[in-house]
Amino acid sequence: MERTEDAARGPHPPTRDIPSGVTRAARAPRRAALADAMVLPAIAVLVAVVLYPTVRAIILSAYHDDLLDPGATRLIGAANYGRLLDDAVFWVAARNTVVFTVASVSLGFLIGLGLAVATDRVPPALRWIRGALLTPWAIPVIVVAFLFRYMLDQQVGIVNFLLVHLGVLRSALPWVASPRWAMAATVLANVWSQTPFFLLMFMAALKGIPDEVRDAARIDGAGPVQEFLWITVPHLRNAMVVASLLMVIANFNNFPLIWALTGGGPVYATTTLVLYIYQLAFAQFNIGYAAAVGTVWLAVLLGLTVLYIRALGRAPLEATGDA
Amino acid sequence: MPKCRRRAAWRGALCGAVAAVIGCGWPGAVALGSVTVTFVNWASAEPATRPAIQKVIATFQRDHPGVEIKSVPVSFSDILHQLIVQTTAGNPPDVAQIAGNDTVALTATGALQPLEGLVPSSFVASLYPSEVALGRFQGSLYALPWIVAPLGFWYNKPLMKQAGLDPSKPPATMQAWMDDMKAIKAKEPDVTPFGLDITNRSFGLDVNWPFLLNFGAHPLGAQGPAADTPQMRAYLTWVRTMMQHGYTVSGKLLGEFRPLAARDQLAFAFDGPYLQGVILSLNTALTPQQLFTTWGVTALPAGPDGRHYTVPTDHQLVMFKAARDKRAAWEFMAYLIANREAILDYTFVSRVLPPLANAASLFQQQMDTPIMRAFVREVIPTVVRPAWGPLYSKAYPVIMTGIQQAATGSDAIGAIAGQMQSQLQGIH
Repeated sequence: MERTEDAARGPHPPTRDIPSGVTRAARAPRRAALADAMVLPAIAVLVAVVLYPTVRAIILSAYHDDLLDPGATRLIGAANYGRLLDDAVFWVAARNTVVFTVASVSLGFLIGLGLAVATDRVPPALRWIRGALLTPWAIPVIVVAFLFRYMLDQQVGIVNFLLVHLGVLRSALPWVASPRWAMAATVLANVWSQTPFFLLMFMAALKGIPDEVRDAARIDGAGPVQEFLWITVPHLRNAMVVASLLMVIANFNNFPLIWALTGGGPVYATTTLVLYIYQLAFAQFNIGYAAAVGTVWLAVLLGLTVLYIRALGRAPLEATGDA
Repeated sequence: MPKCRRRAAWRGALCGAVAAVIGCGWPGAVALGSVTVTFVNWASAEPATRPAIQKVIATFQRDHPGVEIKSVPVSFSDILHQLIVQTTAGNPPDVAQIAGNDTVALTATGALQPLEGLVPSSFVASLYPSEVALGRFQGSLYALPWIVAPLGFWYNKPLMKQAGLDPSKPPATMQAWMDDMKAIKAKEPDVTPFGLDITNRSFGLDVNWPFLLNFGAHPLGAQGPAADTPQMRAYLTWVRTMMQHGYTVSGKLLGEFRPLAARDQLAFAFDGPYLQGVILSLNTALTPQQLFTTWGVTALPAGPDGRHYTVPTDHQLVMFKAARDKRAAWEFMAYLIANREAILDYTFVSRVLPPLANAASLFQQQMDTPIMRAFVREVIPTVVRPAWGPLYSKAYPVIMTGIQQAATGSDAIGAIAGQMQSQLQGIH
């Protein structure tokens, strides 16, 4: 109909599409409203399961709320946040969170990168190695924790058995029961579990490097190290940023592995913020203070998430630029 | 009489009979109609007790056709927070299995049903008074004993003999015990002399409570926290000595020493009567008779005051105020505690003691074993109740952390005790 009218008016290139555009524009608000309405259920769910608990937790953090003393609940303003400053365990937990996260992500990153580069050009007959290397990623974290708990056991663990029999150790070490070793043991278990994620990300990114670029570099006389530094690393930059940030957030939140492996101990050697919040809320039932610690923890996580989202937003542009 | 009237008369008679049965009560049953009693417990979460509790529930349902028991398995360590979360969310169960400080903490939330008025006084009178006392708080009865299980001092007779010790004379004092552990460690270096649980949980402090008392330490005294005392420092020094000499290992739950006991790799244990069942289930080649010749039980060695102490790890049953059918809930609780079939199928299968005051005469065959006799005569009289209460719930992480510091670190004992004291004062 519109086209017929346009045809009757004759060729008016600059204005020919205007009636059609106006009609679309007239429809657009209705379509947009419908589209908005379609999003409403998802927004409602997010409000119910994300926004409400978050706001509720922030409100709770302003209360003295002890489930073991329900009659004593009262508004105390920012007192819970003031208490944080003097809470030595909070600062130990914050430090442990940083140590656990940085050590786990750094080691997982480096080992994942090394394995990805090493297995990138394996012959077809050996490609099963890549699948085998990804296996730990498929094992539930709770199973990993118990696996390492028994492997590292001072009396019956295979790690001590081997190290003592190989002469590396004179006597068995209490890996998860000693404040000196517990964090290292926890990071070890975590790295074993999470390295395949880095491997997967880097393997996929390596496939995106054009052969011509490598060939050109080799023709220009680049050796393996130069090729890695000047071709491989720049092409993997986006994968590196995204994978690292994602794993920083994941490790900041890591609860099951640490809880099942060490329970946060001995002493507070492996207590991270998420474990401390759990202990405050579900062992001591101090919900108000737990909410205050949780709110601080949430603020840090939100900061990391903003970084992650920015990195994601930049990724396609850089990829285009690299190409 | 026309056919339709005759049918109507039959229907009327049938309805009348049903109404009469409902009104008068059906012997052995709670009521007609479908009643569901939700039962949160760890008995059905643990492989060792799951078949037994399932059997007892099935038998109860058979005898009470109108009542369905919905068993909700929750692990022992998670049960308090699970129950508090359920209660706070307005969805508590009807009945729950609970123990130790968790009972007191749960009572403090105000969620539990006082049992006076629901429980006949004759029923209460049939139970050990000391066991009933564990369920009383602020004058009201909130929990009833289901099984009696104080921690006893277990000693492995063959291991003692191999170390040149006399298994008929288990150590009666802390000093004698330390000497025995030294002898065992020297003779059998691969054997763990003792299994001490210093994990950071309320139960961890329960286990350590009698040792604290042995040294005269009362970290949660009636006058306020008392962690920085000579007695407390003596106790912490003892813990450090135990670790440094290899008399025990840190980081293990009490239950994680049991496989060692089953393999004769543990010389002494501080555990409940249920250890019998665990050893027999882990070492299937062992007969109960061999168990009795291998293991003996007595009271925990005494400290300088010459008194023996232990703590109850009894399992109790509680009813929630929000229970939909309190009569059905009570029938179920009473069945678990006192029904002969339930005691035979669950309590004795779990190798623990029933709370009935006349259990020894009612169940002569089951009670007449060396271990059960030792628990009744030597261990139960030494039971003391730890300072359970809301403060205990707040304080145990501080105390257990201090104990772990003493056990695994090199900080000065005085500094650890001082740190505990200041933290406890903050809580108090």
